[in-house]
This record gives sequence, C-alpha cells and structure tokens, in this order.
Amino acid sequence: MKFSIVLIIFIKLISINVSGYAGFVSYGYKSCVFCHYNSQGGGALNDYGRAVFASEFASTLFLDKETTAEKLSESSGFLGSYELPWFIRPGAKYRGLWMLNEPGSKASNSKYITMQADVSLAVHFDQDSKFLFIGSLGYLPTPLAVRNSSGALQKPSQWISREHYFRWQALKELIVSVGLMDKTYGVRTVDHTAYNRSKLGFGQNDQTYGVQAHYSGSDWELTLHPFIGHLKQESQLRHQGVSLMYEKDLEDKIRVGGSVLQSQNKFIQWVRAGAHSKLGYGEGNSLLSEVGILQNKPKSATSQNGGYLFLENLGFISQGYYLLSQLEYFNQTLSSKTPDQFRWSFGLLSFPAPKSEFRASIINSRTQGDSGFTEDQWQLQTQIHLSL
Amino acid sequence: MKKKFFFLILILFFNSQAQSQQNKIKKNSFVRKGILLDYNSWNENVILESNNTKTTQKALAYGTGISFDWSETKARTGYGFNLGLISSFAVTGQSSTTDGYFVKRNSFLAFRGSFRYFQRINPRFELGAAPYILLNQLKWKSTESYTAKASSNIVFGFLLDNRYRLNRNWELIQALGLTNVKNSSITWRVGGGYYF
Repeated sequence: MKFSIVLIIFIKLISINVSGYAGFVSYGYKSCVFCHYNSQGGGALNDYGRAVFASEFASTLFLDKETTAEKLSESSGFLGSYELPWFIRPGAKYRGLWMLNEPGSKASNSKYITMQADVSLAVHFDQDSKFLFIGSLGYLPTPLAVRNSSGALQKPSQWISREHYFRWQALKELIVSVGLMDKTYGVRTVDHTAYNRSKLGFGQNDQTYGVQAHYSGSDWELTLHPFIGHLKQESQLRHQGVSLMYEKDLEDKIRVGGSVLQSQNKFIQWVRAGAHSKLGYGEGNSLLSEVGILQNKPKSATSQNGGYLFLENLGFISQGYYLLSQLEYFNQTLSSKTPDQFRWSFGLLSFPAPKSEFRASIINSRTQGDSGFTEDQWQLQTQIHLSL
Repeated sequence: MKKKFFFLILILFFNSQAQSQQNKIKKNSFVRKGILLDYNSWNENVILESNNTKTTQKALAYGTGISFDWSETKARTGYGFNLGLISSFAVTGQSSTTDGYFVKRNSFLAFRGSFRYFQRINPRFELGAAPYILLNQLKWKSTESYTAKASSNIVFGFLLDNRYRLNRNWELIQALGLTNVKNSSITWRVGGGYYF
C-alpha cells in the first residue's frame, strides 16, 4: 500500500502521463508517456509502467489469493522486489514468433523467428527524472528473405540499437528527447507488419536520429519531431524531414488526433498524413483507428498517392485476456490501377503472468482488384513476449 | 475504388462519433433493432465449359450491404436475425492471360438472411455464431471460348460474428466465416450499425 501511495505521489509530482499498449485507453491511459520512457510509446517501461503491467493488465489466474496488486507492483522491477539504486533501470525484452503459412495446403510451411532480443538501460541523472538517458541493444537475426541467399545479399546476424536518446523534462509540460527513436506518427501499434507501419516506412528497424519535443496541455498533446535519418545508413539513403502529431481528449476515454510527416532522401520524397482515434468503451474494450494518405514521389518518376486504414479492436474477456481483431486496408495509388489489399488478424491477446505476453491469431490477407482473382493468403501465428 | 475507401472512412466516423457510456444491464432482457451498413467480401465458384470439358474457377465477390438487424439480449446470451441486400461485384480469372476466362466488375444483387446466437463476453462485446443463407443473381457472360455459369445461386455459410457496442446507438460488426465449406471460401463482413 505504502509503495502504491509513494508511486502515485511521485507520478503526480513529476506530472508524467502514463500508458501501455494504445489499446489500454479503456483503462484511462490515453497517453503513452505515463508508462514508457519514450513519451510517444514503445521501448522500455518506466517504474510505473512495470507496476501497472504487473498489477492491472497481467492475469492473476495462476497466482495465489495472497498475492495482492501491491505485491505484484513491488515485484515488477528488473530483479523482482529487490530494489535497484534509483539512478539505474535495466530491462530485457524477448519476442518470438512461430508462424504456419497456408495451413492445410500442400504449400504449408512453418517458421520460428526471434523478432526481438533486447537489453535496455535507463540512467536517471537526478531524482526528479528530469534528465535521463535511455538505450537499448538487441540481437538482429538475418532476415528470412536473405537467409538462404548467397553473394551480396548474404548478411550475418548482427546487433542493433533501436533506441538511444537523452530525455530532458524542460518544463512540467514539455519533454525533449534527442537521439535515435521511432518517428512520431499515428497510432504506435506493437505489430510492425501492420499496414499503418510497414507501408509507411515505420517498420521495426526504421528508427531515426532526431529531436522529439512533446508538449502536454490539459487535454491535448503536441509533438514535433525533426529528424535526420539513421546514421548507420549511407547518407544518400537517410530520410531527413519532420513529423508533427496533435492529439486531443474528447472525453475520459476518447482521444482523437492527426499526424503529418514529410521527409526525403536523394531518391524519393515521402508525405504522410493521417487521422486517428483511441476509444475506450466499457471496461477493458477499446477501438483504435487510423486512416490516412501517403505520397511517394521518386525524384526520377511520377508520384503515387496511396491510402491506408487500420482498425484494432480489443474485447475484454477477463483480466489479462482479450480478443484481438485487427483489420487493415492499403492501396498504393487509391485507384483501380493497383489492387486493394486487406488483412484481418483475429485471435487471443493475453498476459498470462507478470512480464509475459502470449498471442495466438489467424491472419487472412485478401487482394481485390480489376487485374483478376488472387487466392487469399493464410497464416497461423503464436507469439511469446518475455520481459525483465 | 475511392468510394470504397471513403466507405472505410465511415467506420472511423462511427468511432469518433461514439461516446463513452456505461451500459449496465438493468433488465433481464432487452430487444434492439437497427440498420447495418457493411462491406462484404466472399468467394464464389464459376463453372466453365469449353470443348465439352467442365472446369471450376474461383471468383471474388465484394460489395456494400444494408440490412435490418433485430436481437434479444439476456444477461449472458442472446439471439437475433439479420435481413438485407448486398450490392455486389465479382471478378474471376486473370487479365494477363489471353486464353483464360476473365471478367471483372460483374455486378449483381445478393440477398442475405442470417440467424445469430451470441454469448456476451462483457456488456459491450458479443461473440456469436451466425449461420446464413445468401441468394444471389450472379450471372456470368459466356465468351467464344467458354460457356460460363455460377455454380449456385443459393449459398449457405457460417460466420463468427463479433459485435462491439460503442455506445447506446452505435455498434461495430466484424464477422469472419465460411461461405462455401467445400472450397474453404472465406467471407468477410465489416461495418457499423445504428440502433433505435
């Protein structure tokens, strides 16, 4: 109890907002900044995020009755209930995916992929958490597409840092982060293959160096993110530009927003613009939506104007268990010249124990266009996520 | 094509229009009536005859539907029915082949009736099983090389029907199922409904 009170006072004092997945808007977590060090979500969780994950989102089905929410919160640290010095917060994250393509057909095949195996470290330079450094280092397996190739395409597994930045809480309302991080844009869903990420250039390893300035008003947030690309890339490939996102709370569990992004490298210019909403309804149910347009303008060819839609519905079953339905749409030109692409993921999202996540879903991809009939693609997926 | 995109935008509109309300059950049961607008997509079979040889070719049908929805909801379960029309198109074959049978945007009207039995997972979320019948007027044009016809104008199917009650009036429907079990043809139904 004492821990919870101290935690709440601490959060109030430093005026950090909090969140887990964007779908947890139904619990009142409309902003990512409460739970994540990155004020736009993703990456390492802070102490509050760890405590909320353990006590509010994870299932208590397999725990004895004496394990209270307070106890779960207290044991949510990197070393469980052993308290680390205030200035250091290590973390670890593993995400594995098993998939069965075209189940039931002769072409059926299965694969296991390590999507993420990261260690992270947050260093607090002061007890008010005004100055922080957050960094991660992870194992990057050779992509499946090039694993069995030879010659120039063949690449060994390597190490990758998906984020390392300094975070400064300049004002009560203003957080400035400088370094490598995801681009600020739209709903930051954990599914990096979702069309609102993969088709827009916001994939799992598409981070950029830049300055993210995040201002929180009483019921709104504004984030400006100028960026210069990833310094590991060749200079002519680095996308340099800026993104801007605005979000406004309409009600207790309803937030709407809009994002724009413009960037270019030596070969192509990108423009993306979208509107999104995060709606919590009832206890534990949520609907995330994002709709937008994108323009890809190659320097030596005509531009293409496409569109996309993303809908994610979380249906609460019991604490730690949700039915997840994700519907996506994409058309590269928003015309009959290119096909409509649809994708539907349907299954279980669960947090069976603190620091764990399990997903099982079926994914149906459908193409619809004037060029002819295309067979659907099917996939069964299970995922396991473990964190420390 | 743009119209379809704007239809999908409508779903977002439903979302933003929704208001957060607690919908606690006060009675033993209640009846709801509403109008649903949805996007539908499913597979059909085309029977082709050429040189006295019969073959079957798959087609994709898709369209916008409007329907009347009625349901009676109890504390944990409920049932209902849905009747409506789907203004549809179908495509089959490949435009890139010169000797195959290819038709695009073949327009037709379909009538669908379904029964739904559902479990209330929580007060706002219903997971249901919905057998249905689809009557359509799909006709395929014959060409010099092929005589073509629909395999059947009466199709039975089954949907896993999810309803998400955003507030007292607006509801989201997401349903996935089988239209023609023999060929594992998949049906999609996505849309929104307004309840009086």
